[in-house]
Amino acid sequence: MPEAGTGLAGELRLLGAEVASAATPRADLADRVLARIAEPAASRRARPPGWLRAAAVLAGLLVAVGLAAAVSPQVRAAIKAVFGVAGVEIRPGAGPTPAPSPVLPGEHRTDLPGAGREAGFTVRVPAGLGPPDEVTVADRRVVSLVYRRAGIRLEEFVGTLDLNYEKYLGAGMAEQVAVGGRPGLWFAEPVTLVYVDRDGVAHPESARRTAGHTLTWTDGDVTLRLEGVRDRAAAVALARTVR
Amino acid sequence: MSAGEREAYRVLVDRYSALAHRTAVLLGAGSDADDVVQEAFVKAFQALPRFRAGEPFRPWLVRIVVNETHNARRGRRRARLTLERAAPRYDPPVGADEPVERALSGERRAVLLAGLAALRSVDREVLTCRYLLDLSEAETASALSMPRGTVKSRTARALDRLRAVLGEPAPVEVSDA
Repeated sequence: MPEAGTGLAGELRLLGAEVASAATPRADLADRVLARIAEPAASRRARPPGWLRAAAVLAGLLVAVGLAAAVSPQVRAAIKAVFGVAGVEIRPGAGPTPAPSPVLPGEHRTDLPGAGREAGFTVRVPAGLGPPDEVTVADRRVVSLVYRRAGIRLEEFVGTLDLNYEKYLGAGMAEQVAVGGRPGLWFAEPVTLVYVDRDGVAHPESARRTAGHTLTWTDGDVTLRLEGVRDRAAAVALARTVR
Repeated sequence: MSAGEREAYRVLVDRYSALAHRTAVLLGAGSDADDVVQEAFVKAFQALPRFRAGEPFRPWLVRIVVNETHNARRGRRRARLTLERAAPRYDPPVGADEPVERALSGERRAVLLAGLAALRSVDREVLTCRYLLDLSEAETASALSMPRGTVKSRTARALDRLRAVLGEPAPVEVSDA
C-alpha cells in the first residue's frame, strides 16, 4: 500500500482503503459472470478454430497443460497483461495424466556449450550450484539443467513470441514476484507440463507433473523455469544468480 | 466458447472483482453495485477483442466499470438518492484492527463521502480513480479516456471543488509536507 500522503488527498486515499475492506463483491460473482458469457455460445463458436495450433506454430513451445481447450488470443492477452511475464500463460484446470517416464521429443544429453549451439542462445547458469549433473536439449529449443543433489531443475528456452509456456492452474495459484527487477511468477502448487512442438502438436509422452514450487521469469528473450526450491525467497535469490 | 476460455476468464474475474466492486460503490452504484460489477465483467469479456496486448488491464477494466455505473445511474435517474443510500456501505467493521492513526474518524468519513457525493460526476470520477482507487496518473488517464495532462489539471480542480464543498480553505502553496 503506497503512502497515503497528507491533506485532503491523503484522506481520500484512506477512505478508499477503508472502503476496500468494507465493500466486498458477492461470492458467486465469477460463477454468474461465466454463466452469462456462456449464454450466446452458438454465436461465439465462430471463433477461428485452431488458434492454439497457429500460435504454437509461431512460437514453438513448451506448454504446461491442463485442458486441451482453446483460449482466445484476447483472453490470453488480458491474462498476460495481468501476470506480466512474457511467454507465460496461465490456464486453470486439471492437467492430463503424466507419462510414466516423461521425455521431451528428441531429448538427449549434451554439455553446456553443445546445448547453447543447438538451441541457439547462451545457456544461463546459476552461481553456487556447481556444474549441472545433466544437460539435455530437446527439439533444438528447450535446454534443461539438472542438479541432482540439490533436487533442482532449470529449463530455458527462447520466448520472444507470445506463447511459450502455458500453465493450467486455479485462480490465485500464481503469485507475482520480481527477479532482479524482472517480472516473474511463483507457483506454490504443482502444475502439469506438456510439450507442444512447432507444428502445434502436443506430446502426451512428455506430460510431467512438477514437484510444485516453480519460479518462472524472463531474462531478455529467454524464459527460465526453476523447479525444486521450496522457499519462494530462496528461489528468487537463486534465480537472481542465474547468468 | 470453450470451457477452457471461460475458466481462463475466471482468473481475471477473481483477481479484479474487489477492485471493480469498489469502483462501482465509490462512484455511486449503491445497492446496484453487484449488478453493475457483474454486467461490467460480461461487457469486458465481450470487449476483449479490443483489448490490445500489452495494455494494462486494470485501468481498462475500471473504464468499463465507470461506464457501467453511469448507465445504471442514468437508468434509474435517482443518482443522488442512491449515493446517499450507498453511504452506510462504506462503514468499516467496528473494531477493525487498523492502526488508529491511519483510520478516519466516522464523522470525517461521513463528511468526505457527503462532499464527494455533492460533486459533479467528472470531479468525483477523477478523485475516485486517482485517490480512492489509488491509480497512477497514467492509469487514471486510461480509465477515464482523457489525456494525462488533463488528469493533472482536473484532479487539482476537483480537489479545489471538494474543499469548497467541505468549506475548507485551500492549502497554502508550500506542500512539501
